[in-house]
Amino acid sequence: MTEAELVEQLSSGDEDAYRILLDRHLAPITAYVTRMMASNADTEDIVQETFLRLWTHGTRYNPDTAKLTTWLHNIAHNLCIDHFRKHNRMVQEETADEPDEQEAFVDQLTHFENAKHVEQSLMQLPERQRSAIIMCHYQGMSNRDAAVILETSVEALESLMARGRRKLRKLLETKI
Amino acid sequence: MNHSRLLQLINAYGTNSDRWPEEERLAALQQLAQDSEARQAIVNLKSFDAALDSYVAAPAPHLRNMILGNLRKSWIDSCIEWLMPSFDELLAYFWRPVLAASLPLITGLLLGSSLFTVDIADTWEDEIELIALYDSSSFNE
Repeated sequence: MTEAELVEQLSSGDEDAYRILLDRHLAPITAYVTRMMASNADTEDIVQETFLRLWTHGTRYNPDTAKLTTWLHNIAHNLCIDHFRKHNRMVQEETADEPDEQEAFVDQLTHFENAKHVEQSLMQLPERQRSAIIMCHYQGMSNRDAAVILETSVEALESLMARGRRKLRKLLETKI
Repeated sequence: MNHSRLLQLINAYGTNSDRWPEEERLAALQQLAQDSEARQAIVNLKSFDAALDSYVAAPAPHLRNMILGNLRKSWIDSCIEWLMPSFDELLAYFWRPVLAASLPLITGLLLGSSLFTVDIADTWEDEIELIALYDSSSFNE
């Protein structure tokens, strides 16, 4: 049964169909929200709300326009942005480019320390740069799907990612 | 594909060619084979990408049950859950039919006790009156 058919089953209250979809998409959506929120206490609420909307608003999903994972990422992304706005934690978009440095990156930290620093540094990026990097680097989303969620062009998305990665690299270099 | 576009891809998508756009990947790899500057850029960024990959989001398996528990329930399920909130699934599996079957009986008893009134003798005089079928009006005179 395709995902579109499973979503269709939701309108008749089919919990089995919902369970299948939940099992397929819970891990990636949780990973996305966790990285966007940096393990914030509200992460679980946002994940729950995302999947509640699949249950209550599943009929709004159009399989001709997007994959279900893109649709769910879009909902989760918007909930994260709403949360940042509500809590005034929005890092504004930067227009100036970072200096282009290509120095060798020295890996001296343990795995755990690295992960912690990456999490902290990601949170210091402007929200759109962070979202772009998380969607394409971590979530394995295509550039077109990520561009749709961020309501921008593929070229602009690539620019966001390049600037985000440059800044992230600088931030991480200062921590080692 | 040219040198400049390849550097753009590396800077935007990273050093792992699996993350490069599918439609440009093959051409980019061919360009990379003959582009020493791009290969050096990849060498320089490898450890940065390794640091990014070290950040693995922790799974939250308990969320599954929380999400399923939040689903809108039918009114009958809500009623039964309200009546037996602490029963585990196996016990509820047996108890739900029993309780559901007894509901008409309970409903009948409640209706019966509220719709039909019975004269109850409150005092000993009333009891005597009822037993003896005595005409109380002549007694009062």
